[in-house]
Amino acid sequence: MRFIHVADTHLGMQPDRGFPWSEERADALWKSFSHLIGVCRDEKPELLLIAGDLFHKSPLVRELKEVSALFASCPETRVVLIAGNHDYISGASNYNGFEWPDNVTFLRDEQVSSVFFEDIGVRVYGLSYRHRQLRKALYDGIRPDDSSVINILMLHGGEPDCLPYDKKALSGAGFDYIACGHLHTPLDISEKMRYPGCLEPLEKNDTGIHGYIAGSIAKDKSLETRFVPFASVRYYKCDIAVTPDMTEAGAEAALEDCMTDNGRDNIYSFRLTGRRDPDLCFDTVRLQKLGRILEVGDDTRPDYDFDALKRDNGNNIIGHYIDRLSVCGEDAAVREKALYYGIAALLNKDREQL
Amino acid sequence: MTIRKLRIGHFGKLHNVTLEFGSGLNLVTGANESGKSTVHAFIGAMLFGLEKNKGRAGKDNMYMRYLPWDTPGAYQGSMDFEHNGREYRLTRVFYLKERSCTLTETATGREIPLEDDSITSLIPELTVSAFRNTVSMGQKALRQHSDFAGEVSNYLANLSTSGGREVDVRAAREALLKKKKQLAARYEASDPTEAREELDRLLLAEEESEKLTAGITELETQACALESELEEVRARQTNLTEAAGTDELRRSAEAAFEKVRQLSDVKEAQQNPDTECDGKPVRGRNAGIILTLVGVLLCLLGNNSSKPAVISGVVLMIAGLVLFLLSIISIKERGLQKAEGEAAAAALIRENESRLRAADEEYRACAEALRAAEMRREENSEERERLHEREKELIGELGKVNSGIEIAEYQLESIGDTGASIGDCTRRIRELEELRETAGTERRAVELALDTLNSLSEELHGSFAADFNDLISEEAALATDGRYCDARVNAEFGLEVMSGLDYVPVESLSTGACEQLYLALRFAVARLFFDKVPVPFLLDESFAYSDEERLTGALSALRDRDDRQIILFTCRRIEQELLDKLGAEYNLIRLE
Repeated sequence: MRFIHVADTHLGMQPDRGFPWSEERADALWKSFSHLIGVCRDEKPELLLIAGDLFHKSPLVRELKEVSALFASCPETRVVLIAGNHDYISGASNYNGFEWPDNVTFLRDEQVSSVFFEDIGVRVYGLSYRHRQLRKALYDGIRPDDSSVINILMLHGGEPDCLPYDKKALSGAGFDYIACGHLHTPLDISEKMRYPGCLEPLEKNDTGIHGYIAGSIAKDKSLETRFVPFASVRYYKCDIAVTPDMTEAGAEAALEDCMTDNGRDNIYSFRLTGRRDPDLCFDTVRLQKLGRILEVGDDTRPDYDFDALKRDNGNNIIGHYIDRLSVCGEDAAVREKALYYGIAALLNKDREQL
Repeated sequence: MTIRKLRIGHFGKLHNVTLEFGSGLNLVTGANESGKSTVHAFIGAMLFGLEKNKGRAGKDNMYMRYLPWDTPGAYQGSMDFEHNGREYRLTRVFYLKERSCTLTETATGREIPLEDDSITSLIPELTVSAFRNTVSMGQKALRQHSDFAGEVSNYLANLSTSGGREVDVRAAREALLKKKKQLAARYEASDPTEAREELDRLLLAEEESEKLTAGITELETQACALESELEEVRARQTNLTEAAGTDELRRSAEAAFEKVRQLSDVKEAQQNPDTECDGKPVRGRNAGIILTLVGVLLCLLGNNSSKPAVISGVVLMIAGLVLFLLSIISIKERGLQKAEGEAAAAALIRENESRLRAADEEYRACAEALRAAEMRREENSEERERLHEREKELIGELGKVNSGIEIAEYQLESIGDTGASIGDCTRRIRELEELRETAGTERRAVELALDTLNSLSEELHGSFAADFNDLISEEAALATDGRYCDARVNAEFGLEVMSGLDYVPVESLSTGACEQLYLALRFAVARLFFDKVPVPFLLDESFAYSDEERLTGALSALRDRDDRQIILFTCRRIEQELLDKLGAEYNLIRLE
C-alpha cells in the first residue's frame, strides 16, 4: 500500500505581502498542490493523506470546488483529509455541507473518528479542528481498534494551543504510521511519526527544503518512507561575513555571489556580520533591492582596535570608558553594543555614523 | 623639566641663535617682530615635532610658516634640558626630506628612542594638547572667559590623548542622546499592544460570528417548526370548513323544499280540475245571454227614435244568440271528455302523491342535516376562532424569527471574514515583538553608553574639583602672600576666594589681587596636569592688557615661585622695570 503524506499547503495564503513576488508566491501554492495531484494521477498511490491546514483560512466555496475538482481528477487515490487550526470548521465554514467526490474522506469530527478501506485493508484515524485552538490532548490513550489491519493516524498540532500530545506514548500506540501536520519545518518524531513541513515555504523562517513524504506499508506492516523535495522556491537566511577591508561594493558582491550560487529565484534574508571599516556605513536599503531579498540586517561593528585605543587614551575618558565597560555588570551583548556606541560617539570622525 | 639652552639653526626669522635659560624666571624681551613668538613656537616644535597633520600643528600648518625658503636644510635646532635630575639634548631636523629627531642623555651619550618623535614618550604627562592647553599661554588675557568651563572639560577629556585625536564629550553625549531618542521612537513604534488589542477584538468578533452562526441555525430550526405548525393549523381550519358544509346542505334543503312545493301545486291542481278549463264555455254562455238581452233592449228602444240603434240591437242579439249556442255545444263536449279522463286523473294523483311524499321526506332529511350542521357549525366556530388566533400568532412569530435571522445574517456579514485577519495580526504581533526586542537591546546599550559616559565625566569633574580647589588654594596663598589661602572654583567655574566669612568672586577684589588670583588659577591648572613633572611655564605677552597695578600683582606672584621654570615673553619694558622694583631675581634674554 503506497501513500503520499502532505500537510500545511495553506492554499489561499499570500506570502511576503508587500514584496514584488508576493502574488507569484500565492499562485505557486496552488500550482504546487496541483502538481502534487498530478503526481497522484501518475503514480496512483492508494492513499493521499492531507494532515490539516489544506487552506490558509476558512475556504471560499470556489476554492473548495477547485480542490474538489483536483481530487476528482485522481479517482484511483483515496484522499483522507482533516481540518487544521487555520482552516478549522467553524459554524459558518463552507466545509459544512460541502459534498466531496467519492474518493475523498473528510474526518470532520472534533473527536477521533476513522474510515476503513476494506479493499486495501487500511483504517485511517483522525480528527478535525472545529475551533481555532485545541488545548485538550485528544489523542491521549488512543489505540487502533484492530491491529490486524494497517492503521494510520492523522494528526495536526503538537503545541500547547494545538492538540498537545505525548510523543513517546503516541509513537508507541500501535499505529503503523502517524501522519503529522502543523509544524512548517520537516521533523521526524520517530521512524513512524513524521512531519513533512509545509509543501511550499511560506515565510522567511521556513528555510530549508520543502516537500512531501512518500511511503509504503507492506502486508507485513513494514514501513518505508522518503522525503520528496517539491517546493518551487527556497528561503535562505544568510550571514555575510564582513571584514574590515570590505567596502559596500564588496558586501554587494558577497550578496550577489550568494544569490547566484543558491539561485536567484529563491528568497533571501541577509545579515551582515563581523567587523567593518569604522569609516564605512552600509546602505542596507540599497542592498535589499539587489534581488528577492526580504531584509538586509546590519550587525557589523566598527573594527576598533580597543587595545590601541586604550594605549592611546589611557588617562582620558576614552580609556576610562573602555575600562569601565569591560567591568560593568550588564549583559555581555548589551555591553559590547554600548562599547561601540560610546566609542563611536567619542571619536569625532565616527559620531555621524551613530 | 627645565629648558637649559636652545640652538636655533634656521627657524622662521631666527637664524643661528642660541638662547640660554635660567631655572627660575626668564624674561625674554624684544621689540615687535623680533621673534619672541617664534622662540615660543620653536620650543613647541622641539618638543613635539612639526609634522603636517599632527594635532593643531597640522591645522596651523606650522611647518610652512617657519620653513626657511632659502636654506631649508638648516630648518633644524636643538634643545638642552634637564628632567628628573638628568641632562638631555634633543636635536631635530624639521626639513621634511631630512627629517630626524634624536634624544640623547648628555652624561652617557646614550640615545633614547622616541616613539612618534614626541617628547611624550619620555614625559608621558607632556602631551601636545596638555602643553598647548595649560602651560603654554599665548597672547591672551589670563582672565578666564565665558567658556572656561568648556575649556576645562576639554582639558580633562583631552588629557593624554595622542595622535592629535580630540575628544568632545559634549558632542558625544548629544549624539548618544539623539540615538537614544531614535531608538526610543523605534521602540514605541514597535509596540505590539495595539496589534494585541486588535487580535483580541478579532478573536471576539470571531466568537461573535460563531455565536451568530449558531443563533442563525437555531432560529432556522425554530422557523422550520413554526412553518410546519402554521401549515397544520391552516389544514385544520380547512378541514373544519369542509366538515361543516352547511351551505351545501342549505342548498340541498332549499332544492328539496322547492320540489315539495311544486309537487303540492300539482296535487292541488289535480284536486280542482274544472276551475280553469270549464269556466270558459259557461262564461261564453252567460255572455251570449247578456248580449242577446242587450240587443233586444236596443231594438225596442230604437223603434221609436233611430234606425242605427235598431241595427246594432239586431247585430248584438244575433251575436249573443250565436255565442250562447256555441257555449252550449262546448259545455256538452267537455262533459264527454271529463268522463273519459277521470280514471287517468286518479292515477296521476296517486303518482303525484307518492312523489310528493318522497320529496317531503328528502326535504325533511335535508332540513335535519342542515340543522345538525348548523349546530355543529356553532360548536366549531370556537375551534375555528382558536385556530385563527393561533395562525395569527404563528405568522407573527415566524415574522420575528425571520427578521432575527436577517439581522443575524447582516451582523455576520458586517463582521466579515476574521480568519485571515487573525493570521495576519498574529504574524504582525510576532514581527513587532522581534523589532521591539532588538530596539530594546539597542536602547539599553545606548543608555548604558550614556550612563557610563556621564558618570565618568562626573567623576573626572568631581575629582578635578576636589583636587583643583586644594591646588588653587595653595597657589592663591602663594600668589597673594598668604592673604587669600582658601580659594575654589564654583559650579559655573567662577573663581571665588574666602574673604571674611564667605566666598566672594575674585572680581569684587582689588585689580591687583584679582590678577594674582587668576595667575594662581593658571598655575593650579598646570600643576593639576603636571603634578609630578614641573614643566616650564610659558607666558607669551600674557600681561599685554594689564595695567600697572595688575602687572605688579602678577609679577610679584611669579617672583615668589621656585617650583618651575617660567619663561615670560614681552615687548614692553615695564615688566623688567617692575621686576627690578620688586627685587626679583630673573634671567634676561634680549632678542635683537
